[in-house]
Amino acid sequence: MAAVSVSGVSKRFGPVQALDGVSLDFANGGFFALLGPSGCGKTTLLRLIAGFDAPDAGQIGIGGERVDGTPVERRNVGMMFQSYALFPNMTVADNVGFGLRVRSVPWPERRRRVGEALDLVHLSGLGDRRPHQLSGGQRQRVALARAIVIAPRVLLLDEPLSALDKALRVSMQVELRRIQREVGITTIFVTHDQEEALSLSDRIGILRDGRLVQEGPPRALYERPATAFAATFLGEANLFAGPVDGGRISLGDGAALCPSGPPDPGAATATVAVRPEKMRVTAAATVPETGWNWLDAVVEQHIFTGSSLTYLLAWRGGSLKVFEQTLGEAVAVPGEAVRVVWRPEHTVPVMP
Amino acid sequence: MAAQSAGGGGRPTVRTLATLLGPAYVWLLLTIFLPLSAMLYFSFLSDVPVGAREAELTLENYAAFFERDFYRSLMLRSFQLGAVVTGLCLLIGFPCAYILAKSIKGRAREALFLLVILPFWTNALVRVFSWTMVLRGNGVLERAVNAVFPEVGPLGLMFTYPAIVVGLVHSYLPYMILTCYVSLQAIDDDVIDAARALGAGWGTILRRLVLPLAAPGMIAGAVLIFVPVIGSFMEPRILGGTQGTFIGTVIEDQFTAVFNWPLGAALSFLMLGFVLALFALAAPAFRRLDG
Repeated sequence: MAAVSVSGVSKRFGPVQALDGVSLDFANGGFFALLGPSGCGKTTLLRLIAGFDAPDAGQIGIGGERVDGTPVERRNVGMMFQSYALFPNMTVADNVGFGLRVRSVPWPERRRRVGEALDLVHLSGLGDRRPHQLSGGQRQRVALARAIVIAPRVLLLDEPLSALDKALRVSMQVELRRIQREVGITTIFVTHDQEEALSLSDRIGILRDGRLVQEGPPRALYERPATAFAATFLGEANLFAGPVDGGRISLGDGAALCPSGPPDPGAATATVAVRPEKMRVTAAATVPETGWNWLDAVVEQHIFTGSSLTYLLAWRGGSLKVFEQTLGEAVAVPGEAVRVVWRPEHTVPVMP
Repeated sequence: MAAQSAGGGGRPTVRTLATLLGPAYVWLLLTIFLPLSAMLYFSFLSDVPVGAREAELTLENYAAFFERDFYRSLMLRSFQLGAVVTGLCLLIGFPCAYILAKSIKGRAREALFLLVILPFWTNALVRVFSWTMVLRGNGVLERAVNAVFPEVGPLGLMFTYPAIVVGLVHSYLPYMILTCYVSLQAIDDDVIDAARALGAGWGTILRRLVLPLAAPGMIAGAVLIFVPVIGSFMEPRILGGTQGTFIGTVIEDQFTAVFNWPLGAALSFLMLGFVLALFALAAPAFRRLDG
């Protein structure tokens, strides 16, 4: 059974439809990322699950029990805020022990559980400090310890890593994943950072304008985006659109792309997405392997980034981006005419 | 509270500091320290040293306070008045500041704020006299109450202790609202949400978070109100009539009516001493609240 289930949830703030009929199931023990640009409704959804706001329509269930009418303080959820929201007037130990104290957990047990939680986040020994004496990464660990020490039914993280610098963020990602696995708690995690969503979670839900665009494991979402937005928001993608002609997408002048699957039979036009790393830049007039898609383009720029090379190319229908690993082969120079080739199975039909 | 670090421009030089701080401190020295020193000197004189009057140094003025119950009970009465007015300001002002800081946003907050500050824009004397219009027999309040409940009859509020309290609370309430607002505003909304998510009800949040975090503002407001209230003379005089004898009015009498400046000065310094002693006693509690 799903640990958290959201069905048909809508929420409006004045003129803004923040959420519009979102349905999602969050599996027990899973690490789920809600991904979307700012204003897509992901934080609103998190706050509805937490119980800070009530949905206008739809139902929210935690552990198989409807919680729409239950206020946040009785939902037993662990919430971690972007600002960490530590209690500035309390020590680290009192911050972590707050939820237990509210639950009238007797002192010896409280002390033991606070100690365990601080051990888990590698902060043992800092219990007597005040939040303002801690670094950003330490504060975040305190916030995490405070959220999980109450053994919540679900852990909700609102952009937990966005206030940290890049190096710390990467190490905290690893840490967060370790702690989540160790505790085995169902975790829902809001982010606008697609890389973070890909590397941390085992399922991702992409939201846009209050609607769920697509949901699935990171790999599946990346390889088979359902819409042009999903393709370009989660990773990068080259989009091609044209009339459908005999199961192929015509790009004009006799060129046509063979998609990975049959395009929508009713539709007159179709859009496909191709990931930049799936394409290869070859010499002009190279005969591609049978069945491969190809088009001719001119190199505008190549950008060397160490392990890979980014080509920015221009073709008749617009611009293209191709990633290539630097294997020491000859590099096409700006101005050179090239042929870009790729497999048909990497040509994914998407909703425009 | 964490100390603010100096801005990006590096450490200001001694000369810059002197230039910026100088005028304020010279002004304070001239306008407060010198007259205060003169007053302190007066408080030890036997008479006002004007014209041919002979004045010599004496402790008589201070002795008078300790010898006569009259002054002692007045001092106590003034401190009680200060406590009552400060307490009422806290009771009325804190919830108001909380709602302004946490629940109301945008233009509505600006409008409500204006209403809080509005009394500051009128003359204090006018404010107090306008209360006499409201509180006096057959005044606005009495007529209004009797229009609804004819059996109530005269309220008899004018020239009573409650009338003084009403006038003082009205005058000083904005200080409490403003100082509490500033410290409540500084509490991150997420902090309160975090406490709710951890299972805390409103009572716990108020006791364990809001009150401790707002304590500096409450203390500042209490000090700003308590000190002037115990020395107040205008409100007790106008609204209290014969009930309006406090240490402040007695001190004022010494300077304006009785022409006994030395006694007035001595009583003023005794009041200052008691206030400082009170704050010294309360300091440990303040520090604990300040967390």
